[in-house]
Amino acid sequence: MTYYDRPKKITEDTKTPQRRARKFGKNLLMSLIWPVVCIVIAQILASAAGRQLFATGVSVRTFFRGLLMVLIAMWALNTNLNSGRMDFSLGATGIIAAVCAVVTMGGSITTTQEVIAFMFLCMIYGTIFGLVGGAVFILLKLPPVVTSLGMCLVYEGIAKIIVGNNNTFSFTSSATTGQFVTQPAVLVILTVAVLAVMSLIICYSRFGYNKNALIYNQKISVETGIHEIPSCLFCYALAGLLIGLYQFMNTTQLGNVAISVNLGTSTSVFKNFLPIFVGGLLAKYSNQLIGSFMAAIGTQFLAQGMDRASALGFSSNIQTLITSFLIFFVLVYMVDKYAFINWVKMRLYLRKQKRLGLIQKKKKEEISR
Amino acid sequence: METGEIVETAEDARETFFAGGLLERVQSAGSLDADGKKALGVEIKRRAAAERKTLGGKIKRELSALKETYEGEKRALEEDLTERLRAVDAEFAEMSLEERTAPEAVREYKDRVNGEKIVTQRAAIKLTREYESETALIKSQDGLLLRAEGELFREATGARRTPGIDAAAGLANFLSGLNVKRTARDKKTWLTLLPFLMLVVIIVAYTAACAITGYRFNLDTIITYGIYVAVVAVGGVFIYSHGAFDMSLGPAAMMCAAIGGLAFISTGSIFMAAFCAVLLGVGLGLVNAFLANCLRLPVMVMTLTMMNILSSLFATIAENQAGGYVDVSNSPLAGADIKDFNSYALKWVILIVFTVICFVLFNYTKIGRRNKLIGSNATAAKYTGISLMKAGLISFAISGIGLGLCGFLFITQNGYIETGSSLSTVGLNVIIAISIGGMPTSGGPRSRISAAIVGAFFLIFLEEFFAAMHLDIYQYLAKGLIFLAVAFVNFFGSRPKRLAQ
Amino acid sequence: MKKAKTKMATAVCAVAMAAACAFGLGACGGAKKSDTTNTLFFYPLNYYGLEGRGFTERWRGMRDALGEYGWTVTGDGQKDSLKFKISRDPDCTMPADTKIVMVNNQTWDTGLALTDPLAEYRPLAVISTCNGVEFCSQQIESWSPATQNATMGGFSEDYEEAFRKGTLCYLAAKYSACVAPVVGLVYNAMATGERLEDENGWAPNLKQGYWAITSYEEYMEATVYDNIGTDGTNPTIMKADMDEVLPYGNPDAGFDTFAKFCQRTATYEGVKGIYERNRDKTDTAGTVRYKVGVLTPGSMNESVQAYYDYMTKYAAKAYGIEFVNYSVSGTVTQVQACTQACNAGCQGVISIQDDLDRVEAIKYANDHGVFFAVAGCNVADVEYEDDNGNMYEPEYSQVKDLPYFAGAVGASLSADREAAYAMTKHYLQMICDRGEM
Repeated sequence: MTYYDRPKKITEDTKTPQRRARKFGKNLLMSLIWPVVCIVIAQILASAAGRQLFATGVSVRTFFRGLLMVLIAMWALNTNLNSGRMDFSLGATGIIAAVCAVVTMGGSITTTQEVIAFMFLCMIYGTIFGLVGGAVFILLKLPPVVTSLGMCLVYEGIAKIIVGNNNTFSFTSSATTGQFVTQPAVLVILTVAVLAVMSLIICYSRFGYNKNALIYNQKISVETGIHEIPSCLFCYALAGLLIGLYQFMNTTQLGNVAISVNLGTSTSVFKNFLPIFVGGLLAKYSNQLIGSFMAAIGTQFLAQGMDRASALGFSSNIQTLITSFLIFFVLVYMVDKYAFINWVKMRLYLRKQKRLGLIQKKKKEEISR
Repeated sequence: METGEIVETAEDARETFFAGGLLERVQSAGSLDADGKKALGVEIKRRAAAERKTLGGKIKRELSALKETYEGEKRALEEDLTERLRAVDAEFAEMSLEERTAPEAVREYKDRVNGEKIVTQRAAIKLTREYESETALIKSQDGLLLRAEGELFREATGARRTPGIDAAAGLANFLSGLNVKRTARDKKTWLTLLPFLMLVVIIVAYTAACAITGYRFNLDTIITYGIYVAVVAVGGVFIYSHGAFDMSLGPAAMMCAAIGGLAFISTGSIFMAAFCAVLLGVGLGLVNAFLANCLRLPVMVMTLTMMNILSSLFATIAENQAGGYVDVSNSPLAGADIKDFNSYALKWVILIVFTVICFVLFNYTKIGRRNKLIGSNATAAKYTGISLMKAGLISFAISGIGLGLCGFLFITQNGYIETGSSLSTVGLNVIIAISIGGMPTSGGPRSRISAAIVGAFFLIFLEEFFAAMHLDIYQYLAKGLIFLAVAFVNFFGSRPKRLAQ
Repeated sequence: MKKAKTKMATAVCAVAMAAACAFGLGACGGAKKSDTTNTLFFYPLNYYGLEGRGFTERWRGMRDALGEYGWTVTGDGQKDSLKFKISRDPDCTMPADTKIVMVNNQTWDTGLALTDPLAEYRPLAVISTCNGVEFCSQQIESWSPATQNATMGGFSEDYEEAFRKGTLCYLAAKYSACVAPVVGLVYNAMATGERLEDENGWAPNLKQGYWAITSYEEYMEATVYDNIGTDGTNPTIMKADMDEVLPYGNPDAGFDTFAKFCQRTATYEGVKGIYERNRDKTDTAGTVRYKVGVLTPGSMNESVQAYYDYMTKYAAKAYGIEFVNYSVSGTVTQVQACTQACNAGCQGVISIQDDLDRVEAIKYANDHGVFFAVAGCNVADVEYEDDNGNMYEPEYSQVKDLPYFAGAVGASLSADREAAYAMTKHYLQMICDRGEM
């Protein structure tokens, strides 16, 4: 009988400084590779069209505003999406929040104070309407698709009643309104605030842990004492808050709120799938938040590059096509594609066996019952 | 239970009702000439009529006797119960006050009482079931007589069919099995009927609204604007029933319309237009099926991405046309106006034929049964030897036919199609329609073709109701609330305990 | 491992933040309130080769002006941005630093496309075919305040505010009471049972024009003559005017009197005269109640709302007509809206919506014996050809013989083209006058 010694402190050995550094280096590299590649492509596209990637300082600022909007929209969508709840009412929630905020403001958003008040109002109304959507979902217990389609109709309907016949709901605005979100200080504060709050919520809070647990298995999680209903309500409220902020940024840059009916708002936020999935891939190398941030930077640069290269034929439709195909690539990369390959191999194998007469072809009566 | 001369099968019925030489004569009917056969037939009918006369009284008598017995037995059961309960009470009465009020004793007393009650209840249920089946058997005498009559008549005269007698037999059979009281008390019946009832309610409401406001009740309007969702939803049932989703239905229908229109321009043939539209629909369905079932991409996200792709593709096609939209009407190249082929009759015919075909495919072939099984449990379906890939491909292809027809009808109705037309939200309206029709969006055994038709027509009647009432801007909110309410009522009984995912 | 991940995360976050700050702060300069450059932005909406449409003619008017000043436009009529080019002719006499930029490349837009180009070029003006205040004002105000905004539209509070603030500088406007003759036409048809016909036996198709307004003062002056009677005073054009020129009120009147009246309403001076004359008049109320459906765009901007207000708030009382609104949108086509109006038992329909379905809607109304009239613009009456050389039958000749088509009075295609031409010329000349910057 031989005895083996226990391996010596294997856990500590692996955590040598070199190894850690290597690991860190690899993570950093993988995290940065997508944005860097995208920036390079964007630069190439822009120079091919004979233009600079950013024409003026304003372009840079609007670029970062766009980046922040993509981030916020994708997090708003992902809050419920990764729990398996597709929310068609998200766009309508944002729109009705903005409409209510404009009404509360009395139709005038001109000074900085008013803009800030408008922002908080949008977020508050967004949270409220998000909560209402969540409450309806919990009370009715219908599939999320059905509930959210219904809520989308309801919110669009309410917005239409408030706004009346015109489909754009305009308010008194000023230069301050349009420029507010692009002020570097505001952009930095907003970005830091959103990142900090989201990281607290997603990565370092009980809510985040509970949410992740519920995503993997609702039944077991509930049986171990996690309350799924407050968690779900919180998700809806958070999504509402974020979409309120998104709609605030959108509204101030346009100077009006665009209303649509008959589910016209339902698909507006689904344009942000690419950063969500790329973010999911990159999350392996850092965390959910940094991953999605990097993904958003990359996609936003790509969009900027294609925008600048519109003279080469990158019309908005072509851009959508390119992004959509990228999503397919990411999806195919993510999913278990070997299932299909194995299926094909199995078919070929069976066919060969049949041809060699090793297995008998089943009679029709045997197959159909 | 004494049933007297009650027959249980058609064979027995022959022996009982047509005894006395008639049977033997029928057996040797082959040797008779035409007149003889005819006479024999008449005799059979006469005998059957006579039997029926006596049978009517007999059935009544038997039924009342049966009822009497049943009620007596029921009473006996109740008396038995009171006796047994009294015994339990007596047993406990013997105990001292302390013993009796101890918690264990109280609980035991309750358990005993409940136990006795349950025993009686079960016995009563058994009794009622027996009574019901006996009643049904007695009531079925009429039907059995008719069936025997039909068989004998056919044998005697050599006729192939006896539609009159058969129909009467069927009706009698149905009536004997019908238990109005029980059916009315059954929740399932109501759940199945609910969507139909709601459709009736909305039609009545629309009619009333027309009467009040003087709006013209116009079926042409209903078919013109309701057919798109109806056709796509009927095809869509195949997708939804096996638990899949398709968000790209709207833009796909627009693509079909555009391609159908372009085919018409270049060939001038309406059949080519229909063919190309349907072909493209099937093709797009197969692409979706390949991505969803073969590459196993998450269906929801995949079809949403597909939706973006198709709408961009459509926009690209439209941009390359003069005016930024696909215009087929009055095209000098085609030499004819596609709108000339537009008619209400065509719409009804396409809708009815497509629905009937889908109904047969869904209810009387493997395709539908397979889909329902996959929808309720994909893993179980897989291990019973069902090919998920094959089922997916077939389902998406059938839904593609619906898309093609929808696109074709749209282009014949309007003569042009542009971005943001009403077809773009047809996919979402399909989800709404089938939910209203009482079919869960997750598929499974409750899937049915009727859900698509009922839901689609509910939607269009609702829309027309608002048009008739001229409620304008309130209609959107009302539509949302009605949709949520209807979906809630439809699925009230079948909602999961936990939050849906 | 977990720690390393967290640290890494923090590091990446910090790097990203720093980058964001650097970019953001570097861009602090923003739009200065300096002068503009010799650049003109064109922002046409809904123009792409839609033959026989007002929007297309507006762009063509702009193109005419550009051609006159030595610029050649190629590849318009297609949305392919690769084919679209505006090039300077060798004999162009405009300042050498003049740039012409086509900003919008969409059928419809939100105005967002303007942000970057405005900051990049700081143009003299943004010239749009419609909705210039809705889409461009906010962008101009934020990103290049010195840029002028020129558009075509009507009178509304929003436009007045924009003129006052200086975010609108040139407006080619239709006055709101221009729908008055159409209401008269439909009323006449319903009251007499037959439509008014010209000497050929066709439905009337009469032209009205635009008023060019270039300052707040001019705007305020013109507003006075743009009275739709909602404030209790008499509107610019009254029922009393119609009584005189249409057969239902004056048996001697006919097409000629009506056409003559419309001729007067086509000019600013003419309208001014009618307005002054109508100050002290009173209307005689109509006796029979009629129901008229109004087909409006699903999104009614304020000028369309003013047309509708003229009908519901003035004409409804004056004529005794009940006006009911039917919205046309992406999901409800004009035919569908017209069907609803016919189903609802309207005896007449007035369309303020100019789209591809209008001819079909007219035919539907005609089949169901409902009088149909077109307001705001008239029906295209010139033959046109597309890029492939195919000739198209004008809309007017498809409907002029239909007995229930009551006619149209409004801005004609040529009026649209001329107004847009004048607007563009105004700015091209301005660049020429100020010379090289």
